[in-house]
Amino acid sequence: MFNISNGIGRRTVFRLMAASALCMSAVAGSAQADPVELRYFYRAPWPSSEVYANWLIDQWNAKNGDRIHVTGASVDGETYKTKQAIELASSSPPDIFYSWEGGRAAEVIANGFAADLTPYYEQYGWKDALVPASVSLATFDDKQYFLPTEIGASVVWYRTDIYEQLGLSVPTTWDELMANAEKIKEAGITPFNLANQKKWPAQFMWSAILVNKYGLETYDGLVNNTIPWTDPRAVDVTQMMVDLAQNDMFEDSFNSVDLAPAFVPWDQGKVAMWYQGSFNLGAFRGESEKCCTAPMSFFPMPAFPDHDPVMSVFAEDTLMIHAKSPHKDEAAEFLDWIVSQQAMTEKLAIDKPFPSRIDADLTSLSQMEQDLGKAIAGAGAFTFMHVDHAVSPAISDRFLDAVQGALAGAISPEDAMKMTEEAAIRVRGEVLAQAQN
Amino acid sequence: MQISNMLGLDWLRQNAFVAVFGMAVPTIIFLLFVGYPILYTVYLSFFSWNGADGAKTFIGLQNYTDMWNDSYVWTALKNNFRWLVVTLIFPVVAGYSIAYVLRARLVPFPALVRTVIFFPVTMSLIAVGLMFLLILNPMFGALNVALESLGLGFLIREWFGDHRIAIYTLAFVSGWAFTGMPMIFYFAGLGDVPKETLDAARLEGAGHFRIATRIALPQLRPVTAVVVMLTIFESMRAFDLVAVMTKGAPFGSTTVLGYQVYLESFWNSRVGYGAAISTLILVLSAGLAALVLSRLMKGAFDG
Repeated sequence: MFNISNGIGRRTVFRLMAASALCMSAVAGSAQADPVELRYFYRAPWPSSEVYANWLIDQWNAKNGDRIHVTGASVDGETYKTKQAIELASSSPPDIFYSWEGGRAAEVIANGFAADLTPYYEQYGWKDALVPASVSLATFDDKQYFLPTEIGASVVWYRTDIYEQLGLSVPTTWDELMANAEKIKEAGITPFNLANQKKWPAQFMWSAILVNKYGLETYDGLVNNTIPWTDPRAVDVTQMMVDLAQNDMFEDSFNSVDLAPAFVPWDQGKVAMWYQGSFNLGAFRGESEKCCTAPMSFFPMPAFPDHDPVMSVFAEDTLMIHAKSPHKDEAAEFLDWIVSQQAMTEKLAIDKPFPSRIDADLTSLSQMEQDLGKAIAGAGAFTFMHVDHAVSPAISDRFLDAVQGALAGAISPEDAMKMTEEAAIRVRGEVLAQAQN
Repeated sequence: MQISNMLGLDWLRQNAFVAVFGMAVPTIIFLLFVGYPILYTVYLSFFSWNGADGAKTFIGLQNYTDMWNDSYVWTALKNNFRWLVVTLIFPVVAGYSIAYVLRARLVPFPALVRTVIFFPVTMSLIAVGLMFLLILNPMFGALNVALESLGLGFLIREWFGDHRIAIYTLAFVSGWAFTGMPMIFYFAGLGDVPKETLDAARLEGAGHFRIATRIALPQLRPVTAVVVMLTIFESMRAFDLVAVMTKGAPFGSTTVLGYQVYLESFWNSRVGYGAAISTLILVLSAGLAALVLSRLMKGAFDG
């Protein structure tokens, strides 16, 4: 029988106690050494985006991996919504995740998935470091919910060689733009690329015309459901787009041409202008070291009489911290690395522009890209998102279908906007009813 | 008679392996991976749920009444039937014709031809869709170039951009990828048609067309029933080509029920509504399958 008073027994007890103490201290030591594991769910729509994300993670882990270790998982641009919905609602959601701005971000916030980043904006000084328009886009009810890591703008890209050849000057008004387009058409060149097969490209021009013709407040009213989509101003803009289509201002079969193939006639000089986002700069750059393959430049969508021109600036890549993440502080630290000057400068070398940081060094870019970068940074806090970013997908999908149908001549502009309004009433009917009352 | 024998326990004891692995395990797997998801989908169709939070609200038949009033669902339903008609005509007829030609050895290297025709069946529909996006591209697509060079430029269309024909373009592409399936079924079936019957028909002076349509085809009713059934299921679950080629565009004219399920459930966060559309697909598929079984299979195996 074991006797605690026995000499050997006591020694054994002491040895056991000593061994236990050693084990406990070893366990405690190893617990301290175990890094915090962060899961980073990012969107990689281009091959360069994947390369850049891997660089970001590798650099971070090399410096901080013993303290905060990051594991990345990417999703392509097309399927991210499906995967995001599943990931966010799962029992082990990612700590940091990509989300679109606008309506989609609002849904994610409303569902309680996004952590309030306002304290981190203060702590890391992001408000001052980032492009004001992007901070404005990240703000919902006076709180910041995402960190914009890449920003973009929609502008009219134009072929400088065609403009020179035809003796055209950069337009500053809508009428001048249309006069240029007529001359381009007379020369046998397509005035505008639309490439509307996937139905989202046409909305770029639609929203830019609406904002520049009827003001930002009208557009905000539509997307915030205080003005119905059947409003005559929305119908008028749709009619203007239809008129452009019927007047052969867009390429042939524009509803059958996808974005990527549309770069072929652009590079061949068969098209003179293209109202599109700066996220295409990677494609414009092609294999060239600097932008762009074709001689080109940009100008903002010209203004209409009595209105100041407004350039659409949007947050192309945005990151949120999951509300249920147990490592929010560590996640914020990693986010701060992503928007650091070093990381943002590297982004220009690996991925496409534009970084969301004001003081990012743009000198490695072509002069045109530098000019656009400065224009974006100087756009101020007042800007607008295109419809599919600004409202929830249930509304924007109907809108995109409707505009495509109107451009195809399948329905009238009135019916197109009625279709959109029906979706808006179904999704947010009560808001509209209150506003009208 | 002993009670255990009456209950079949004796049989179970003697055939324990068959009972467990041949009946119980497949039944459990079926109930777990097919039965439960189907029942849960039907259950979800009575709720409003965005798929993100835990709050499901019971709304009774609201999703079904919404569906009744949703023009997109009606368009999708019509498109599924258009798709079905095209795939019943084109790949089935083509598949049977090719199978007959191969079986009758009317072309050289029949084994090679059979492999080539069957090959698209093994391809991912995503890859097929991407390939045809290039072939049918209005700017530099091979089809338009070929039509132009053959002096058939008047046939050139906006294959994806024209809302009146876009759905038929997709169904045709699906048919192209699917032709090998009916071909292989009919090829096997034709092998079972008694040689004496065919020889007798030839002696009577019947040509290939007559033999194929009047002699062989009526004897292939069970094969036709299977092919038609597969075609129905293929048409009702159409999704991949729409997702990769048009995303329902132009003007929502190429949407199909399967794509609407995806759109509503994942894109528009209306999981309950998506479940209601899924239930509609289930009912339609089951109804059509029952119709085929009652009409085409009835008496098919009678001596």
